[in-house]
Amino acid sequence: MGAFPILSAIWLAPFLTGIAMMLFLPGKAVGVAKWVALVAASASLGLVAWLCFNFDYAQAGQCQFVEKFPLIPELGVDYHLGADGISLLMLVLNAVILFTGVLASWGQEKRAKEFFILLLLLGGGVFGVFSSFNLYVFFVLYEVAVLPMYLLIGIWGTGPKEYSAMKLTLMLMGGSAFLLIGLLALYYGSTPHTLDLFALNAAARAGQFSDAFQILWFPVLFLGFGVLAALWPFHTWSPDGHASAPTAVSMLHAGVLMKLGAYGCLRVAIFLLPVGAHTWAPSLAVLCLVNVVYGSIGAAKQTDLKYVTAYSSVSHMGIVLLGLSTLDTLGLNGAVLQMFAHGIMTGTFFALIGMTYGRTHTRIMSQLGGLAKVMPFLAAAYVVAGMAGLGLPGLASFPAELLVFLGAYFTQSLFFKGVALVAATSIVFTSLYVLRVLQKTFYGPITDPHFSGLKDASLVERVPIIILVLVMLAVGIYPYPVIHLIDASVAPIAQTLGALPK
Amino acid sequence: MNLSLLAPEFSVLGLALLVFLLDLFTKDGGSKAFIGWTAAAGLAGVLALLLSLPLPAGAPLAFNGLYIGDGLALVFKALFLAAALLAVLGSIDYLDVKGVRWQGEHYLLLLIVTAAMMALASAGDLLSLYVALELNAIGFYALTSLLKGRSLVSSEAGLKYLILGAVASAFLLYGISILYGLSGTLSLPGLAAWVRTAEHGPALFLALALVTAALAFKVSLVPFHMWAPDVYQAAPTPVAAYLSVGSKAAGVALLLRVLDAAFGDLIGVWDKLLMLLMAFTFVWANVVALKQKDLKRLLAYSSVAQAGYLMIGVVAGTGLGLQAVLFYALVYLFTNMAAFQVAQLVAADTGREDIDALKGLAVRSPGLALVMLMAMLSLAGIPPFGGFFGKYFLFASGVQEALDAGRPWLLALVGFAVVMSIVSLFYYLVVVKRMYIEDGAGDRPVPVPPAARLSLALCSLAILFSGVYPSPILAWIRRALP
Repeated sequence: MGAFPILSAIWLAPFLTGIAMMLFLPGKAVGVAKWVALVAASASLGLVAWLCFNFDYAQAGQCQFVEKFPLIPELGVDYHLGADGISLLMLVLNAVILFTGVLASWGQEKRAKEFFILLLLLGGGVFGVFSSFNLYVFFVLYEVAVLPMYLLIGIWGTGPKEYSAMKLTLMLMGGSAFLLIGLLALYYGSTPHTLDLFALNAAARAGQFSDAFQILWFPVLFLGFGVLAALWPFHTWSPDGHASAPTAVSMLHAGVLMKLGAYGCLRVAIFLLPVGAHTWAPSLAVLCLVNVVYGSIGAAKQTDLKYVTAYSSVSHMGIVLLGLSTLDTLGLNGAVLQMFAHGIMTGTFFALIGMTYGRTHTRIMSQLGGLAKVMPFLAAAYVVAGMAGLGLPGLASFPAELLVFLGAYFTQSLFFKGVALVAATSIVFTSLYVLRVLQKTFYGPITDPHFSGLKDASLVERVPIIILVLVMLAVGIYPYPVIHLIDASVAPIAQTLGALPK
Repeated sequence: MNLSLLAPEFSVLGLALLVFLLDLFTKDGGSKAFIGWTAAAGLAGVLALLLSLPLPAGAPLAFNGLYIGDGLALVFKALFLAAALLAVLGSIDYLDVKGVRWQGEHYLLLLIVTAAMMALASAGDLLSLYVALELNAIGFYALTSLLKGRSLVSSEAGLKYLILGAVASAFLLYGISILYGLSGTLSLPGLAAWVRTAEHGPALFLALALVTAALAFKVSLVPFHMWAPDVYQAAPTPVAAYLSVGSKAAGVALLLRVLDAAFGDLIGVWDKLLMLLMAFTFVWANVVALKQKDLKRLLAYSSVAQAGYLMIGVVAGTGLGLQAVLFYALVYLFTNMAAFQVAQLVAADTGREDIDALKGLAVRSPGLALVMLMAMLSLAGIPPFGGFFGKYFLFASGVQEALDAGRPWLLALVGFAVVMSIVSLFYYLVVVKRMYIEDGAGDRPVPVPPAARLSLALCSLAILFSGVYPSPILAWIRRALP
């Protein structure tokens, strides 16, 4: 393929569209904003699809479509984009969620122009992070992706939105403060100084990072990213933030942004500091275990639909992080697949809750009931997403969770076997809250006479849901190509880890 | 002797003279906007002249070493001229709105202060340093109280600044006299040579502490910052803005000249002192800023905190640290000027200077709110704005020196600075919240006169460019430094 900078195009399409809208679109043009946003999101989706068709799957572990030129040569900063299998999968996830998120916000009327601008900046930033292989650019885009959240939640949120927005922003930026220091330590710890991910990995393999160095900096980086992945006890921004955020923002945040944290843990912390990873893995596994179990119990105790889903995200992200902490090929594969599966699933959940809330104007379960009678489509979709949540075979989450649990169980250590067993019990709580939500919200008699007049999903609302459900089914029924892709790209990471004496 | 070295300073003084004459021949009482425009055009011309000069090779001297025309001085002079230009642009409408009587004097003093700061950046000797510093300070005392008759607090602030400034000057003079007594020289290179062979007794330490304290007053490090919030709040806004960037940068230039250049060999002695002041600054400025209700007071505490960040490069004392300081000072100049300019426009429209006056600005004037948003995020060190790269560069210089030279305290200090920058994010976001999240009264746009429009456009471009593609600016700074 020629020199078309496809990866730049993918992240710049929404990003520059956002900036152009800011500069050129008149403030009153509410109807135009969403169409422009849709075009930009579709462009990214189309470009990602093109990327999928032209990706060399035989070389999935290699960085492809590389774009590289020096940006700030004095400090080792290159504009270095590329995509391996993991990046590709995450780009697909983001493209799907961004596209469906725009559609799910079709009814947005309050300050619509600003809303779609921020949504596009956020989406563009995320695309950029998933394809950058220079830590500086990675970090810059990471923060660019996080910051629009503040305004998105603060302006268009519900409930204690200002509190949630501030809490989320400060906690995530606090995490990235640690990243910044860790990043500088990596830069000055390597000779010659570099911020290139592969060069740093080579430095790690060549033994440039002493054991003490790795043991010191691994937790700094892992926890820094862990905040965004809602690692317990740094998860507290997540329930408040996700519950307060408007629909599309919850979708993007829980669906994609949290994956950014897990992706960073894998791509930066584990890939570059393998000795540190081996040293800290058991302690981290304990934190992840708390995530899994605490998240699912928390979800079972909530009464607000969004809080239920937010806590379930904490629990499911725990499974991702648990998979990472096994440091085992199987577990890492499961973690990456779970990132994808959970992104799609939780995106569906939040979209559905947003649509339901738009009709009933309440998300409190005790006030809802019997909605399946008036909105069968939404109810059916919720059942599918719920089943994915509790790991029903045939849906995307099943192979992912299975791989993580197996990965943990088949490690050599008894400790991880125990962890796997305890983590698996969370499935009971997950079933509890999923079934409870379905039963209380959608089944039974209609509790409120106002509900009988409600309409089912419109066409614009059906499209995103159908897309998301289809992806969930496709990956669930035939996960092999995706797992194969992940396996090939996890290989270099597993190799780095395996090169060490256990 | 090479008098052409002083061409930029002489041009600014000539401009001051021109402004003075123009003022003399216009009737008092009316608007003197054209004098402002003349000053702005003149400053832009001098800036262009300065940038067109070939970069000096080495450190050419004039007046027997009293004056150094090196690259460091050149970068700082460009910075002062840009700051003065923005301050003049900000003044043009402000003076009319406030009905200031002494408009001509305002521009005259501004230009003299600018020339003084340019001379400061070139000081090669403690004597010329002291003279330039006093000229600069006295000009600012007068500028601060120029709202006399309109606002009582302005006079009060001027007096407060004068008294505290006089104490700081006394500290500096005492320090200088001890140094002269010990070494028998006032020239900075002479002192550097003397330090290499001299005994390091308590008198030297005392002298260093006194000089550091006086310069810390200038850049407003805690606990020598007390004047800043009062003065910024009460002074005419363009003066406060100029004070917060120009005067501070001049102080930084002196710290670089005195501590890093002349006493670089004693870095192990003075770095503890400076680091202690920085730690105080990070805690106190950031925490107190959280509670501010007045926008200019908030910006004052923010600028105290920013001074702390600038010091990282000074404490590192390396070439990289020097570059980082210069870069950050440049970015900070445009960022802070933009913030003050927006504050001034909103205050002129609403008649209120508290943060709540910003409510609903995003709906009223989206462009103005966007500039303020960029300024706040840049100050907080959020990419893709210049403040982020500037801070990153400063932290990098600190970490590099800490790891290379094995200075664990410096590493700890950088870590602390990073963590405290998250605290600062809170109060910057509060400003953003007022503008974007909270509803204000009505949707009538805030009027933005042409001079302010020009200055805001310049600032926003600089904030964006320095963050997205800092390389050219960085390359220029590296070329200017030996």
